[in-house]
Amino acid sequence: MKNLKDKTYKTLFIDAVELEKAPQYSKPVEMPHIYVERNTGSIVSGIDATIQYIKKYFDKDENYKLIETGSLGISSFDPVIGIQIHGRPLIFFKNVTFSYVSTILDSILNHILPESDFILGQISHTGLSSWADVPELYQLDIFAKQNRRILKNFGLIQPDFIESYIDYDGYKAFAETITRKTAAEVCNIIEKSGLRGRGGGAFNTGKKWQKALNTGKSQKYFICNADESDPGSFSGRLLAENNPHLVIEGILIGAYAVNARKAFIYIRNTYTLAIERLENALFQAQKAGLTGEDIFGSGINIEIEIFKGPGAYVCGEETALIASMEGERGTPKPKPPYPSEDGLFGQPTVVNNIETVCNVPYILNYGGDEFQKAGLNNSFGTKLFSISGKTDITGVIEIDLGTSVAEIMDICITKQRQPEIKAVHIGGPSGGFIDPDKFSINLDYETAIDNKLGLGSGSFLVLDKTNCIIDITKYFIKFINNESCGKCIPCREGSQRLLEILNRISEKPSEYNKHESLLRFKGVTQLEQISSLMQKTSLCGLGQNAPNTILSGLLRFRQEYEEHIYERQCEANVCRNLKEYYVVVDNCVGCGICAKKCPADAIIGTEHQAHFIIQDRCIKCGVCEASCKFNAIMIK
Amino acid sequence: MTITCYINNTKQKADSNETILSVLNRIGISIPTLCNMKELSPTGACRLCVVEDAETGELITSCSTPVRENMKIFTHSPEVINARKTIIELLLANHPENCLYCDKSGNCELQKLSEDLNIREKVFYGDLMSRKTDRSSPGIVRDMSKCILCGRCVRICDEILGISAIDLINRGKNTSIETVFQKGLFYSDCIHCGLCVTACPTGAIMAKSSINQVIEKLGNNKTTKSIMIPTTTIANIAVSYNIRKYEDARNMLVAALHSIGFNKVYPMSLFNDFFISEATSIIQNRLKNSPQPLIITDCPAIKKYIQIKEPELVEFLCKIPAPQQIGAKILSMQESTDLLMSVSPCIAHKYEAVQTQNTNKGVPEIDFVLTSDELDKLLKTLGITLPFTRKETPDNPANSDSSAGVFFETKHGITEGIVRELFHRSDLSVQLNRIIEIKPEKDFIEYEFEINKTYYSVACISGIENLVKYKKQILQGNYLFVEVRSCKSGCIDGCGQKLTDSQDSQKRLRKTLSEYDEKTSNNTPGKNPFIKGFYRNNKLGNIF
Repeated sequence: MKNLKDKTYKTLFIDAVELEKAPQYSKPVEMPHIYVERNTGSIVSGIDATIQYIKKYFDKDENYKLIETGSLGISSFDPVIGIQIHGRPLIFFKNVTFSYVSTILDSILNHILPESDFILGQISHTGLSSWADVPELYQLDIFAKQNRRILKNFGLIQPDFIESYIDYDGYKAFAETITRKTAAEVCNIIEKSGLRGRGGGAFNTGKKWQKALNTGKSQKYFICNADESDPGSFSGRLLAENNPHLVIEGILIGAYAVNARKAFIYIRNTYTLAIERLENALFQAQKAGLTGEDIFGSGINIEIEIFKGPGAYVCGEETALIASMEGERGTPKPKPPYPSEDGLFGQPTVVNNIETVCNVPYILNYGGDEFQKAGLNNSFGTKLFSISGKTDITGVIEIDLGTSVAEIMDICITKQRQPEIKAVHIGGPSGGFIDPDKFSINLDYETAIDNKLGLGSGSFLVLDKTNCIIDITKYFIKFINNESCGKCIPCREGSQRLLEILNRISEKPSEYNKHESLLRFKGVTQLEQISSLMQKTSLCGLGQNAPNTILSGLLRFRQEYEEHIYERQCEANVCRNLKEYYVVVDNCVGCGICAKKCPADAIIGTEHQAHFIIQDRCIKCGVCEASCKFNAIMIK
Repeated sequence: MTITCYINNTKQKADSNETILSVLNRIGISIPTLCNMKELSPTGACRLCVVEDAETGELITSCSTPVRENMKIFTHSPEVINARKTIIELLLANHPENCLYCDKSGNCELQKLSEDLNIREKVFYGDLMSRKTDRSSPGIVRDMSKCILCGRCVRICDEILGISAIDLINRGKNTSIETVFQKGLFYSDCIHCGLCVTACPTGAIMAKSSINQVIEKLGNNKTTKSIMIPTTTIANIAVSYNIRKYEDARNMLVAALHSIGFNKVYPMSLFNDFFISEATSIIQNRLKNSPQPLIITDCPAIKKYIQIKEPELVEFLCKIPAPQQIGAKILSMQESTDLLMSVSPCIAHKYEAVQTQNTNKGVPEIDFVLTSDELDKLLKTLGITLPFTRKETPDNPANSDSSAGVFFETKHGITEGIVRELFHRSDLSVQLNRIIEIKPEKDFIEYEFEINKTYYSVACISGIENLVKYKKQILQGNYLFVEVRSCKSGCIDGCGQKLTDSQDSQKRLRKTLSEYDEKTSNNTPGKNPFIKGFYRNNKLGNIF
């Protein structure tokens, strides 16, 4: 090894990258710099059109700079653009669809603030004269209440430029690791930091690494699992798309720590933008000498390859993931042997979730003690939560593990609207419901399990009075039923039975006989019986955690289940198939109002004669019932 | 390394490499399993073999978990029983409820498990499974709605044979076991060895039955009907109905078949003799110059396996057809018959009968091939109770056979017959009736013998997987010939026989055949008068 210890880390890159090219918002600019945040979320919201209109606005005037950056994390602000003009700090605007581009640019280029609806915040800096009456971006409630460690500088970093990442102290942890620390030391640091797997298993990452490091075999693999498929979870995509170099740095450190010479990023093939950016980032990293042979003259070779997964939910389970990489059918295998002893192609393999990997550089930069300043009980560090549902904002936030549900609610929903909230569903298909009484519980791994929840990959779905618990449960069980690999009986057959029972509860009976009613009543006890079997005997985490949604629902919203079963009523009016509208012939005078109002043309009849509802056409909207003045339309 | 563990509070010694299941089996505790098979790697798919870890209270699968030092487990705690019961109940929720009409009924592992676990009412109600049935193969019917997806057939086809004619497709509730592009078994690489039939715990994979057509044909009194019955089928009948002697069983079966309408009944031993004679002629030509290896087999499955998986061995394959096809050709030379049937210990012969080289303008030379089981059922359907009261000798020309032809269908019976015939033709009197010793556990044996002061060696391979394993020996071993058969005990444990599972019944089957062999003086095809007469008019090696 060459003597690299005295060099500061940025000088390691000096030959390979041109750091001075990286734009810095803290320095004054001559010509206008326009930051556009391009990621899957903002593309859907129309950032591409916005970019086109920006280009059109400047037309042949080349006196401006367009900078493509990653996302701030909050998708409901998309499309977001940031503008920095001469002498002024960077200011961000939200929801800038193409039609507002010229308005905003017109005013801001003339040093006038546009309408306040669009203004998000500014990042003031000494030497730059701040915009008056514009809040500081990072002092906004939504950002100030977060603890952004992984997401630090998101929205400023350009995913397609390694210079931009290095400028924000990127690859410092890796450079220092590879030049100053041994593999065992790195494992120790990670183990002591108490970092646990963010994919759902919550196993101590350092211990996993040590196990793999200490196996005798020489060929080892490191796999970063970015195969995110949970409904309602999009934090993995955010990381890969908006800061691919952070992912690569984490992988490099991990691969170095377990002595793996080959690392893989397993990512869904549908995440096209993420794949594109990762591929580009890998190319740049190789050019900068970060991957490949003899990295920084240390004599260590690490190669990273992207593996596009076919996109099955079960392939997020590590043994199934490995099987699918080997070209086999993606089904889990019984453990032991664990992948850290016998994994990819029979070699020791470490599989880490993308979020776990992204935590690694922070720990090495700031140390385990600093890392442990966030967290509760035995769950240290921060966790990304994907917020969606009936909230004011949608997007990914980063908070300390152990933060209470109520605190997260404060970030994503205003105090006035909070009483409307009926429940929060945490953890995707493997998670469960929380009712407002339990909003005070802390979301660390142990407390979550005690409350029949799983943090999973961190989805946070907020439900209000218009959502039906049974309907949501049905959605998740259907997802499990479709995505179960079909190997083990409890999961395959159990989820099928659960779905059938839930359908029976939430739809009107196909025949009105005693047997059908008996099955409906038996449903609830059977839900519990099957759920407990699945938890105890399923082969992998998918089946074991699948019933959490049902069990927590039964525990906290039993009343809603009973309403569906006994009264055949859905308060949220979501399970419309529970009802059947019919005309009471004696009451109907044949006025025809219902037939006119029916949106589905399901009511027929001649004037002054009793009308009739065609059940196959009826969409159960209830308009006819509301419009009838003679009480002639009833519900069965 | 020996370790101690506590099973149901009793101390047991175990090896650290063992799985819990193997320890439990050894000490006589029976654990229900569906996906587990002795020769296959554990997959932990059925979850029936769960036991309770006393320390953590978790349910762990005994088939895949190795024992640990001081492990404490309960094998039949209420929780375990409950879990197993619920698993079977879940399977039964959408299993087709037609056990009364199922061929497997009475022999079905799912049925037995639900009986053992005392499931006596339907708990869960689901939409009954309906998947399509694959009837493309002449020997195997796959009714996928009865499939419980244990994956035994898939693993046996992959791990033991390396063919993978079938595999799991789709996910979740749509998972099913299918052939390539779902085209049907006939169009796949299936070699019709029938291993999947024996592996299937339910009635999802079954041998195709032609009983109903046969009964219809038998009702026609104007036609002449002939049937060939292999010696293993006779032995199967003998062991099933406790008939001590081979010839008694044979004669009873002949009388029974006569009585249900067959005009002629021929034991296959005669055509086995022809097979041996033909093979010996080929080998006699090789005695002087034996450069290349020669693979001799009567097994259609092996022949197709070699064509598909080991094409470089095709040129070494002996071209003699199987005895049932030899029979069809010889009988067509002797007399005309309207309906020719054959019985076989396995389903591969059903496939062989419809192969192009065995058909005449698209019409198979043999009209129906029944398995031993089917014959048994046919007799039952037609009101014949075995043991039958009458005995009749087989028909001319087949009332003469050699004991080598009878012994032919057991393990290395081909080699035994050929070596005897070689001795006979070299005018060395065949003293011993058993030249090659049978070792049931050995898959590969070599035998050396001396003719006119020259030493020759031959080899026998049992089991398809061993063909690949010993391929090098075949190519380089400089053997006079190599016998290969796809079943480990020769044809006696073919998938068409009921008694294949237990070691004991195999032993009894073998004993029945060898007892007859030992006391018969006509111990080689050369001493068979019909064969002698036949070859006076036809030249050896020329009839096929």
